[in-house]
Amino acid sequence: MASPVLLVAIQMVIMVLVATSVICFVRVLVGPTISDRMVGLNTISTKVTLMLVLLSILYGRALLLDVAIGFAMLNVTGSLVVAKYMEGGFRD
Amino acid sequence: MIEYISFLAGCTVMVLGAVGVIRFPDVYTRLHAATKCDTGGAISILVGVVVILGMSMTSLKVMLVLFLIFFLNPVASHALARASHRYGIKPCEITVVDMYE
Amino acid sequence: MSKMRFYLRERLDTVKHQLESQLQYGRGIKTWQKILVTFLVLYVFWIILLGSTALPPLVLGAGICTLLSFFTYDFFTKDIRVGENFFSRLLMFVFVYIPELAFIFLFRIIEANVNVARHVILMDINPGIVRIDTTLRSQTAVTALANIITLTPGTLTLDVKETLEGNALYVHWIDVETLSTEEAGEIIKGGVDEWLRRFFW
Repeated sequence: MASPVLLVAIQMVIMVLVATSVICFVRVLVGPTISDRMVGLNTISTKVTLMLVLLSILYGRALLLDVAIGFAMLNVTGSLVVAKYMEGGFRD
Repeated sequence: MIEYISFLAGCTVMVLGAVGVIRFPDVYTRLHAATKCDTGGAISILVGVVVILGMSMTSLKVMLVLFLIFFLNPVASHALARASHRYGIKPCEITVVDMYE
Repeated sequence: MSKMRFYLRERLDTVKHQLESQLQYGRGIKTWQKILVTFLVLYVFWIILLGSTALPPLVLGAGICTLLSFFTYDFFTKDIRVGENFFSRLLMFVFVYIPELAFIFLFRIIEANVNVARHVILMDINPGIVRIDTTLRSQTAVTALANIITLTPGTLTLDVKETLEGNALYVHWIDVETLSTEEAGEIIKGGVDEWLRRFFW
């Protein structure tokens, strides 16, 4: 269904996404506070969701799209848990 | 042709957002860069994917992913910003005004 | 004495505000309309997740969505305003107002993306946390407004506090242009405030 040029373009986009994830991972490693690390992780998670969508086109498997939907939901839950912890726990 | 243009725009925005996450001075401005990656980059790349797939049930699913990124990522960044302000992380020195106290 | 009178006046305003809110809540749309809206949202979600158009799953989904919408109809539809004609408003919402919002939003996102890209390259930022006021009261409307403000790169909602006239939003702004509350509200909110007031109170 897809032309070879398009497949190469999708592979290039995935490479760019991986490279930017590595740049964001530097912030996760050196970040002075917890929030800085969470910002980096949140950005990486969004990029991984995009990668899953692109890989499902590349391999022709619609199953990876469902995985992407689940991952997009889980990403937010993780950030919310850390934010709640920083505000002082789950007492209320 | 549209898909290549939108892929290119998305990649540019992604690279600029990642550089912004590294270069900005404090956590709030870094959140701006992260939100920029989420909206600009994700919209451009997923619109390209929808153009490739055409009108089908699969492209509806891709639109659902776009919708989820669109509506759930601001919630996460808002929660992180408020939590870091209450945790005691100060904005950087060049901040003009802080009315939230 | 004058201080006492001022306190009483403030208290009276608070009570009036609470009464008004409760009256608004009591005047929501009818129950069958709430059930219908919830059913439509759930069924569209089911169809998208299904990914095929075979008949037996569609019938099964209709049954499950009907059952669920009888239990959960109050979650999303509590804050919708009362209008004259229900079906014409529903059709207008899907076919006119949502494309209008998408159109407004597209240009704002492109403009703001270019702005933040310039900030990343040149680092000419002067960030600050400003306060803006809105007259929207219900939780759904304020959540939607805060989400849209956060989605636009360059502005980030920190917190929401309830005031007498509505709600106050604290917004982290990457390039502070003005310190006045009204002017900042004009620039940050744009037309989204008016758009939301058509459906939510």
